[in-house]
Amino acid sequence: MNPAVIPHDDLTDIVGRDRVFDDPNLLRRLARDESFATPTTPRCVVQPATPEQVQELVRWANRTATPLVPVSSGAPHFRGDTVPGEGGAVIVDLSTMNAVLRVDRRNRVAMIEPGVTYGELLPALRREGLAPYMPLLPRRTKSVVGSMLEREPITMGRHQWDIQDPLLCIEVIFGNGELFRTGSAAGPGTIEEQRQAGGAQMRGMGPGQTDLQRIVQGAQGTMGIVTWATMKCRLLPTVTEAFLVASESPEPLLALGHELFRIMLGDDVFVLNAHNLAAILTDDAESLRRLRAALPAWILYFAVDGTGVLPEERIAYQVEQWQDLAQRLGLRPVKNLPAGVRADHVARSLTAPSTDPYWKLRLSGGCEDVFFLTTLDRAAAMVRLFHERAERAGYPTRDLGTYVQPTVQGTSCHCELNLPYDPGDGAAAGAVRTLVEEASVALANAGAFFSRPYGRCADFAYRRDAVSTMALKKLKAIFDPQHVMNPGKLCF
Amino acid sequence: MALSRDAYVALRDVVGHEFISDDPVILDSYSFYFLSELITALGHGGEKKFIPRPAAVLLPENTVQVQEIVRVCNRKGLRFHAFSTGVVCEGGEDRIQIDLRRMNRIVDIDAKNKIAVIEPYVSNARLFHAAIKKGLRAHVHAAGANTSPLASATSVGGEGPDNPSAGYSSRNVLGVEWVLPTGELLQLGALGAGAGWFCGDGPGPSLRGMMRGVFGAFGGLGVFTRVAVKLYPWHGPAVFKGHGLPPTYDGELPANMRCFFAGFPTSDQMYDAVNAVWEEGIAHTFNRMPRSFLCYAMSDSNEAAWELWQSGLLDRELTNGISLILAGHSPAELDYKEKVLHEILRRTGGRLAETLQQEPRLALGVLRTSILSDHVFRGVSRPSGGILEGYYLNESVDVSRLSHDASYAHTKTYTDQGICIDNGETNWGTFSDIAYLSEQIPHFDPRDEKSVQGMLDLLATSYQKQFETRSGAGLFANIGALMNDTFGPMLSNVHVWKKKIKKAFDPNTACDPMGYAFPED
Repeated sequence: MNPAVIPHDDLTDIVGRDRVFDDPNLLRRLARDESFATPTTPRCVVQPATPEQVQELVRWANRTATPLVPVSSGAPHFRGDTVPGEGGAVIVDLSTMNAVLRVDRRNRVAMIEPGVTYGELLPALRREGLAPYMPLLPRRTKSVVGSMLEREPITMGRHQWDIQDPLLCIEVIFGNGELFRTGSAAGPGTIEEQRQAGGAQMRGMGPGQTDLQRIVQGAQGTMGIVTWATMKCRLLPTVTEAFLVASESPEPLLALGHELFRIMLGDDVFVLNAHNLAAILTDDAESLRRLRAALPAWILYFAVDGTGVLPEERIAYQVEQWQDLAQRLGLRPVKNLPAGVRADHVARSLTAPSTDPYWKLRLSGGCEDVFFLTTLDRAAAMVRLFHERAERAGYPTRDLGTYVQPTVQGTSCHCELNLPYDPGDGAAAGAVRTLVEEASVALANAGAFFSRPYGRCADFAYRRDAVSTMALKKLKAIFDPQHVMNPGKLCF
Repeated sequence: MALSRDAYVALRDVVGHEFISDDPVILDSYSFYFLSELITALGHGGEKKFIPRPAAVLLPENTVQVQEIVRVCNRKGLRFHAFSTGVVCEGGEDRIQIDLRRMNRIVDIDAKNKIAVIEPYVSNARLFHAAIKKGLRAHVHAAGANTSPLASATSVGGEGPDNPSAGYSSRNVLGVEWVLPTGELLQLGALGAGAGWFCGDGPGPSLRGMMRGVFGAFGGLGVFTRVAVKLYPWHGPAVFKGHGLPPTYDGELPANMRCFFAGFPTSDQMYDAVNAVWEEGIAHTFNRMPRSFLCYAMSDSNEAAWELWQSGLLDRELTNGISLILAGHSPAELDYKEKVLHEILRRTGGRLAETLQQEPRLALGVLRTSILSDHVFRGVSRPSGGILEGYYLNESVDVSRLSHDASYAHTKTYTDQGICIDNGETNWGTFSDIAYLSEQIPHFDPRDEKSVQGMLDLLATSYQKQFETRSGAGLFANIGALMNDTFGPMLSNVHVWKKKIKKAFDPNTACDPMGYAFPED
């Protein structure tokens, strides 16, 4: 970004002249994202470099009643949460606060700033023999902290003990300008003093009788700005044994998923439809279409990592149990699917962010997602409901991507429908928008839980639960009494 | 003092005359709780082991009645404190207790999705025996088989020897039904959206962050009437058979579980092994067990415990000791875990306790204390009738490692004065997926004023030491209204937020603030 003419004396006093931007072209770009959010042009963009600067910015916003929109990931954005909900907003761009502050091999913990992407984190962890718990092929520009704050599901549901995972502690500047550290990072002492006492900021509970990081998670920047986070990491595997199981319908695969989580088997477990598996394994629309046509309709991916002191044996006993289980359910785990799709290729692709273009954009250049939580035994019915709605709306259902991710050790699952469309085709975009809005309501009526409601989805999510909405508004009044943090989002 | 007539009538109309009492004979039984002697010694009313008598006690049958009671309290200027199996409660003028023992249903065990929905007075034991019939189990916190998993999940602590495989209580919470201090019914997560019990977070920010942290609000933020908790695989039989009478019943370790005792030349080596066991994810249950505690937990009387202690067996085999149970879905899984354990012992210089390994009764003892939490509290409390946590370390293994000797030396100055029993090494420990928990548990005599006062002093000095060394905050430094202004500033000013939350959600201070916070001034 090139610094523009700066009329914002207060802001330049806080972050420096070269970190305030108001180039009209830039602001026009930031007025919208890839979603259907109403475009709103921000006043300017600031790039704080330190937590102190962030705190000063929030205090300034309180004094001047200026909306702040915190953004940690790079473009493209998809959910409308980074588009200002009110005019005159300042975008707080955290992308240059991108230091990996610490990698702690003994305690399997990393401390990172909000601008760190998976591409930056992975090599830092690898050097210490660690790896992150990752979502399914995040886009290259995706902030790790942003992903955790959004409660983005990870592909290793068995290791997700709580929906908060893998987030541990955070440092946050609440909307009233107060700095707070959660979990064991809260104190006593500075972070450095805690480390000298053996601490690793790894107990992501507390302090005391609060878990305020849970109030910041899922808040879309409406409660405060996170300046660093610690995260739970896993051992870097020396070898991974991966399998694919094909089916013409999702039910047998989801039943297998149930059984895997019943005995806590495997590391990566998820289900994709043909479109999405093709999307993550190809680079362009034509290859995607070809591969999709050759694949079975539904695929379960299962992998065991060889880690620890006996990596091969860790794999051996689990593979034995896995094969027994699959056989008992009449399913056949394979290493290869038609058209040269290999399980180890999928395994490799899961160890890095998506290459460009982002896999969801490869077919048509645009993509709208619908995602919610349910249980594995209800997921197939939900997916079917959406497919029927899509078919009725005239959407080409062969293009519809589906991803079912068991979460929180199999007690729930993330269900995601991806609707690729051509953003240059106004009619197609409008149809997708209508379909998404209507089908989402139908899904909620059928028991889908929109735990992370973005955009207009928030309207019906909060209408369904008046008491939670009241409680959240009370909390908002405590942590952001002037409503400067990303106003217009969620129920605020 | 009795309630006013109209307040009594209003409350009676909610629950019916059978389920309200202001009879002093009945109310006296609501004046005695665990640690009452310490609370009264701190000058919060009451005398010795008895807190002040409450004005009345009510036993509601369901959530609607709880809501009505809470609304009456708000209207009539009464203060309430609800409890299930009971920890510290409140008494005194215009203070009522809500005893939730009639709400004792296991509402659902959803075996497919590994979710149990329970009411407040369901005990660990009941939930355990109901779940194992379906090949599952819930986390059992260390307070005992007879205590409430709902209370542990929503309101209190949550550690137990099965933490490694069944998590810490607060991290097992899914949907929650919560009567706020003003009487509204808050249903967390999917439940509020009418979608079920499977998630307690959202839409958007999670209100679980207000509900509790490492600890809960101890009844200070309303009443929890139902909770959904995660269930975990159970590798044992559908019916857990014992013979004899509890707590001395006997039985057999299930075929797909193996119990191990190991000692280490130094505490550093032991902590390295603990970290490795944690990292490998092999433990079904884990105890870093002081030898004296093993004596208490494995015996049926103080005499038998003393005999075991005197034998010197534990000194020979279990200095810097750990015990753990490995479990597996298949023999191959169990073999793998055992091989990993042997490899860890080889690398860290540990050795299996040869004699103890041959004692099937000890293995069963570990099973019943670790998996069922049966006899832990009773056995460990037995030597003096009173226990408390001094040093409370809840972070990395190394926080405990670096505090290990200092915490013992500190306590020794009190044991030398006869204030508490010298248990030798005293740090009990286990780990969940995100923290190693170590508690130093001195025994004091609750009948002896010198011991009680000395214990309070030990707590204060232990906490001071913990803050000075930055090793963490003592257990009670994290809990309750009285600790807020002293310790909150050292914990990122958390007390400020608690007071604001209390004020916003309990504008009439109708809900007992002692366990949580007084509202912001």
